[in-house]
Amino acid sequence: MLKFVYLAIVAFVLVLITVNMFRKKNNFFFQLDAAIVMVTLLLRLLLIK
Amino acid sequence: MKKIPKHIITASILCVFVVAAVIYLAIVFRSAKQEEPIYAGPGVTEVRKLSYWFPGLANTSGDTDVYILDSGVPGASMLVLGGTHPNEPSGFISAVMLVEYCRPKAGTLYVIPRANNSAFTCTDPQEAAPMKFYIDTDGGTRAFRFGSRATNPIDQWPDSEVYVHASSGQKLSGSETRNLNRAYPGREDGNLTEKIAYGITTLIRNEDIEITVDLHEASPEYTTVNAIVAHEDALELAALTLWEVEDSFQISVEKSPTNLHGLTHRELGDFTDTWALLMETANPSQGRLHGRIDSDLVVSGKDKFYTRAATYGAVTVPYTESGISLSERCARHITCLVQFAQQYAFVGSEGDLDLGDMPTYRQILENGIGHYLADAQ
Repeated sequence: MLKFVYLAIVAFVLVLITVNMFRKKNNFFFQLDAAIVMVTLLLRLLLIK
Repeated sequence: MKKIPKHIITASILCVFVVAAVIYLAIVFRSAKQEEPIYAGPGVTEVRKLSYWFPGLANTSGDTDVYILDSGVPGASMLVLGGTHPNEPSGFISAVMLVEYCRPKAGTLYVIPRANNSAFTCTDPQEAAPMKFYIDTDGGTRAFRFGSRATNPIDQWPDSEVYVHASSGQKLSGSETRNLNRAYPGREDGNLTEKIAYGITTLIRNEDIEITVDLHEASPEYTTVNAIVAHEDALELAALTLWEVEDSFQISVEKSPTNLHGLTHRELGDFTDTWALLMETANPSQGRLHGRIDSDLVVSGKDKFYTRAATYGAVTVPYTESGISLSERCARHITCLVQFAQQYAFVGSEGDLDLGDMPTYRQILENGIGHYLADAQ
């Protein structure tokens, strides 16, 4: 059960970051930061370690 | 036609890179699940899964191969555990060497090279450890996985804040929840690590194993290193072995503490009839003082920072520029294993155990451990 709560939180944060990345204007480095964080979150979401 | 905003284009391109990076990293990480081949040598008569003794492990990443080397001559039996901690490679490689080279002449040898199979599929966080290390054999270079001290959290998660050892009530750090060598004698209905421990305990009970040896390594600054730790039932055997090997190398015998629970040398001795022993060699890739950790450090054991630390008296074992090679660490393990078997004839009651024609400590040092492993195929 805890695992699914954890995955739900990761998925929620991932969605927020993705949405923010598409909304952020004139700040490429913010988008780059977001992309790097997305890689680690996606790996966690897919339970790849 | 409406122009697509620039930030949407850059975000989309970055998303493509994210997906590509995840696919690449997934392939890399998933490769850690692929077991390197271990080639059954002339002495191996049977290979079973640990789930044969405890079916609760079937189809889990905790299930692992048990190699049986039955000489055909009745006698005593010995179980060798390698890979309890897969970040301590001399235990794993010594067990692989037994499987691929040993040919017992009396009694039966059981070998589990990957005692905690799950822990081979990941590395410890924040250690920057390599995923593999490489050993030169006579017929090419073989790759072996460098794993973690603990069960992969993908297989067992989350850790509790405090780990309570089931049979004693002893409290330890929560990170020890996934440490196989804190889980003995294990539980049939416990977490994966406890189930692996239970499987090994059941094997020992069902097969009436006389001697169990758990092969480990520790950092050169640790106090229990270059040592045999013995349950009180096995102290005489350990002492006889020390007398035989101390002409070749320095080693000490320590009695298993009665108040430290979950370890092989305590619980297997208490909960089964086996004589339980644990061995430690000095592994520079494991400590806190080493520099960059890579395959070369794991195999050669050479590290300039440990050399410097040794001049300050910061390590507990002799350490020079020549390092402490994997061959030397395996030679220690194998020499003691041979002596455990030989000396059992003097203190045991279940017959002889003869591991056959095994190389001496000097021969392993001169030829390298790779010489006694099967060729790369």
